[in-house]
Amino acid sequence: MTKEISKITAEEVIDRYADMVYQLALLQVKNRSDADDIFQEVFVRLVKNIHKLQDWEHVKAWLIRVTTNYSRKHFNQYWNKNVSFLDETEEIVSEETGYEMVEEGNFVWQAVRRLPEKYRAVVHLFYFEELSVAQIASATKQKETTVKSQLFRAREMLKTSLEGEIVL
Amino acid sequence: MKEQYQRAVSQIHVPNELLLKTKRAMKEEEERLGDQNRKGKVIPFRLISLAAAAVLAVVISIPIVSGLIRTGEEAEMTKPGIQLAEPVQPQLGSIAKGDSVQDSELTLTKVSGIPQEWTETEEITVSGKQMIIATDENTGCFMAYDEQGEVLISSEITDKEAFLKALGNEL
Repeated sequence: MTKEISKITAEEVIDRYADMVYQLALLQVKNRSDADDIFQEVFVRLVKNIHKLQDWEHVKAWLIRVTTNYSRKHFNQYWNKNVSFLDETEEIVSEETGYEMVEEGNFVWQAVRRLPEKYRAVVHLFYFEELSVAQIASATKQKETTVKSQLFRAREMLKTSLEGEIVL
Repeated sequence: MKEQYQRAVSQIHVPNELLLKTKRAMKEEEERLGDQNRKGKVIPFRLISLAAAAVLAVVISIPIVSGLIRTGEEAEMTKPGIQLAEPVQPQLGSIAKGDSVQDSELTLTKVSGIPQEWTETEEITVSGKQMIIATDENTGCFMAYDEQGEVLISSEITDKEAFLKALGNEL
């Protein structure tokens, strides 16, 4: 895991972390074309910054931080704040990624996407990427206590949202 | 919930088209950065030539500036009310060259050619030699020259007696 980055190319990074970046971006923005833009921006920026990254752990943390920052930037734009393509997006996602959402999984995915923007990445990193609170705090440049409270609130919201749908 | 979420997310993959498009964009970015780096290597040469030009400009300007400073000093010295250490010499032009002839008290300067603006006063014989004495109206300094045009000028002596004495010593 601690292979020297000088021996790693940007292509190796994209091969390894493409899905992680795409999933994180798709979770946070409201349509697939925004997720595509973010995906491209993140990896093009990686080319400029790869020499600064020390090891794979550093690469992963960098990708998470830059993806969440770009997603936030997209989200904060007036158009993205005020126009939602959520329903349309889901169809596109299903068709073009070859992903037929399992109904049960889809509920959870939809519920996480309905969370306030600041909670989504934290929930995703904790439950899917299985990062620790400390790692999430480091990657998103937040305090650990902030991450903990975000996770707590997100869980409460998900409980309410998924009540009756699945067993939590 | 965790397993259900993981199951759902793990089925999302980057569309192949987007992946290829992004890899192309990365390649282009790499090439662009490579070009920039290559251009960046030229910059030091440019800097070197700029530095050389700057050094050359400084080298050229030092004598000019020092000349200007000297000119300024001279202008300052010729302002009315400023006393010179020595009386101003009359216009000697190209003849103002020569070696000093020391006597015990005063100095005479030997030059070739006779200055134009001096007024002849008298002819005298000093140490058996026929000399013409002249004086500068502005400074009152004396000059003596012989028939061969050998000239002795004092830039200090305004007293005729002292000049003649110095002249006698010299001749």
